[in-house]
Amino acid sequence: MGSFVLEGRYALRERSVVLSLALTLLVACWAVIAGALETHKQHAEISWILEATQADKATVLAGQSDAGGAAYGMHHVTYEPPTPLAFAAIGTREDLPWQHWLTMLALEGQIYEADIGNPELSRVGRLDYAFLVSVLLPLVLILLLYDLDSRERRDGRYELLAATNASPRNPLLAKAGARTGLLFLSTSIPFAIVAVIENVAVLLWASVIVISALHLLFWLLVCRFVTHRTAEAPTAATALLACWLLFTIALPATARMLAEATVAIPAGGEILLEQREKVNDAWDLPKPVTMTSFIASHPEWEAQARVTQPFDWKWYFAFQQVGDEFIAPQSNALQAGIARRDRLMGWASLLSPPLATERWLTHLAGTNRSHHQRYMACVRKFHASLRHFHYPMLFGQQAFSPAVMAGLPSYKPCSDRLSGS
Amino acid sequence: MNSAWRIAREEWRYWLRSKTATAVGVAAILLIATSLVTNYLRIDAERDARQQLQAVAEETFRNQPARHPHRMVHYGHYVFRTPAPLAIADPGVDPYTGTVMFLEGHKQNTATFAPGYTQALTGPLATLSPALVYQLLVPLLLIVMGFASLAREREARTDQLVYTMSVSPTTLWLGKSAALAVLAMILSMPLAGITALAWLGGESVVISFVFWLGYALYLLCWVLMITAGSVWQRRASSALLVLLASWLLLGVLLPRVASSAAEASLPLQSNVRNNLEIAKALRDAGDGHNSADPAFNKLRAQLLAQYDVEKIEELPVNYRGIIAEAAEKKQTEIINRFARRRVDQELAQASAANRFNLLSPYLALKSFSITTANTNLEQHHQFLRDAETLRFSFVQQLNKLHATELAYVDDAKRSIDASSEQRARIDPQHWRMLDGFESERPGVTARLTTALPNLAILVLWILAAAFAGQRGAMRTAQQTNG
Repeated sequence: MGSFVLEGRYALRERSVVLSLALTLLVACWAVIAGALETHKQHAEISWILEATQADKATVLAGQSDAGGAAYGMHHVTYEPPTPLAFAAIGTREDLPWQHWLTMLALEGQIYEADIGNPELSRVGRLDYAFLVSVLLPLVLILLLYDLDSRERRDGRYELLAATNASPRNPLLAKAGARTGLLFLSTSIPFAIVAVIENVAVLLWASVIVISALHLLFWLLVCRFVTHRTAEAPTAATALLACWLLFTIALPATARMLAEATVAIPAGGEILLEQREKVNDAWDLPKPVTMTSFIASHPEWEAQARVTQPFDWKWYFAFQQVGDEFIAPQSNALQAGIARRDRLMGWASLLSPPLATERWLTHLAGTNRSHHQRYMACVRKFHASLRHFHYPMLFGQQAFSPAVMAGLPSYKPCSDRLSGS
Repeated sequence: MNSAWRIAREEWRYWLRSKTATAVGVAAILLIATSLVTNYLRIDAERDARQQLQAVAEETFRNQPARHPHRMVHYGHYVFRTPAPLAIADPGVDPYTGTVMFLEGHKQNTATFAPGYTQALTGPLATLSPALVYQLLVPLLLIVMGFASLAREREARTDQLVYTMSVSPTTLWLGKSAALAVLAMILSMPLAGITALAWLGGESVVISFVFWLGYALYLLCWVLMITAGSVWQRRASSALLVLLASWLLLGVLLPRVASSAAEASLPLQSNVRNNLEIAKALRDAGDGHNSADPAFNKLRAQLLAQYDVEKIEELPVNYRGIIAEAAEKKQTEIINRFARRRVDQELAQASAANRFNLLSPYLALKSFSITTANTNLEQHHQFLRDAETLRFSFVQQLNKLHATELAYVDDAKRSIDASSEQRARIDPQHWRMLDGFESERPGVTARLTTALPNLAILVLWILAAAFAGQRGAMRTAQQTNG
């Protein structure tokens, strides 16, 4: 331990080391503060929207005289609040929608609406803690460590070091370890401070720190392995850069190509076109055809399924649901395909520590693909509950009244074991 | 000049013997080839798929049976965004913007199904597009090839030898730069090939050439920065350190700082929020489904006076259709006001991020690349605007049919009377109103004009790097002589 502290002090006497560490610290502060500001902005947006939706629903409802009109006119909002840890890994909250504005109409025509950020900025990506740890830190570490051995060799101290050191097989391990430790501190301290301020559960932020440490440890070992064997600093640096390229870009990119080539996914455009046909065809079909398909999945409404007028709200909403049910296999295949691709990337991350780090951090922050899919499933559940609420009134089992409408379900984010603070 | 070429040739001979150089060469070929081929195949497949779906969407609209025209307003239409020809070189915002949009009455939907929606997530650095390879990875490979070019000579003191053969320090620097520049130009040839493909795919020849030229200038800029870094540092390893740190700062860190700063400092309202505000504004403007809405009293009085009748039933036109048309016009004005606000907010953010362009040749080239390739934010906005124009035009054509082809009495009773419902349908020959959808692309001059400032930034960087390199060569020669 003592030698680490001593080596740390020596390292801080070098201008390039201090400069790199200071810059890293600055970037880390920037990353966590910008992340926290972003999640606060998202929370504020959500509360504004919730309030406005309440008012909007009340206004619309006040003008309605029947169950069908009320069901047709009202908009509902669904959303996924950022977890306390989301500031550290923005993940899918950047380019996948986390809020929706829905009506009782066919859900498949609405759920793919993409309320997302500025595409030109999404394209560049965020500078968040996850990016810092998974992509930038290895590069900074390489810059800090690539010439340790060669410098000692050049100055003719290497043999002496090897002879007097406690670990003669890798005499510069303490020196490299101390630098890695300093780099680790320069990012995890700002992170931990913001994590505590943001009320992140201790276990959760401790896990983040452990993951970051493990990732740095991996790169420390890679650096030691390469520089120990290479006499020349430039050769070592080139080899290390090659490793970085391989693990950070080449492997994940290849894995992605394979995942996308092996798992075919139904085209989104086709899903949209087909479900529209199904929904709109109902206008030209005899009413009993639609109602029979509806009854097949909702036998409880069989007694009330007769439609006598050219337009009847229960028939209108029945064909919306029939349209959704018709396209469900493709829609499920789409979600299953996305999930399967994501699982394959999970396997691929075994080969790429940077990818694994990114995946773990977004997993803990609730901003990964599967979390997004859980949100979408939650939206579907909510939409189903809306139908469940409105059908008794539409099918004439329950009278439409403000008292009944007071029980209108409103969206609650599906609980997640990670989202607690 | 001759001796500069001789030095360049010697540098090449040195590379051909070196194992590192071979490895770098193989890596470069692999990266460039993979990115070009996979991106070309992806964009090509998507272009085909989207064009095909567009044709299907138009076909099904035409083939709808006899209907009430307002049914067709809500049946709606789909438009698909096809990627620009140069997207095969730089897909730009394509993966992050929706590819299909549903057009219907009274509403503006978002473009959905961005390619990213179904992509396996790997983080933005692992999307191997040719643009990323040329903007970020090729400079890295050039650094590895060139960081030692001058520092190596000085460390081994071979530069002194060269100077005694009446070669000036400037010539030595020039020769080393030329060697690296030739390498950069060779590496840029596959890009020239892909821009030629884009030209065959319908892009203007001037744009295709300028696109390649921008990348060539960018690589030249790196070549000169590398030789400058190599000449100013006393040791090869510190030259490498400085160059890698610059690459990290200019290419990886600064872009994200720029986008984070733009995102944090400027507002961008979500679509849900816009929708809520639109809903409120629309309520005040009147509901086109409800002809009894008091918002239309004035219009009714006007119509009654114009045709000199007492009741709306006596009007020669269908009052409901007139209302639908008037309401759609008003609603569209409101919706577009909010749409414009959103577009303005996005543009303000993008231009705030672009303010950093001067600080990094990478940022300048990135902006240059997407504006020239037509895969930038503005092009996405153009798609949204074109889609909106199409939406408004077909909806209003349907509303006109609603006003002129249907009797008010049937229309009013169609929900409760089956025979009225039958009479309130019009012949499907009317559905032949759509004639294709092609998003307008800005012309050659417009694109060149927007690209010019970024090209100028690249040239500035080239001049600065050349100046630094030449000065460094003179200085180190003096130091070692003195």
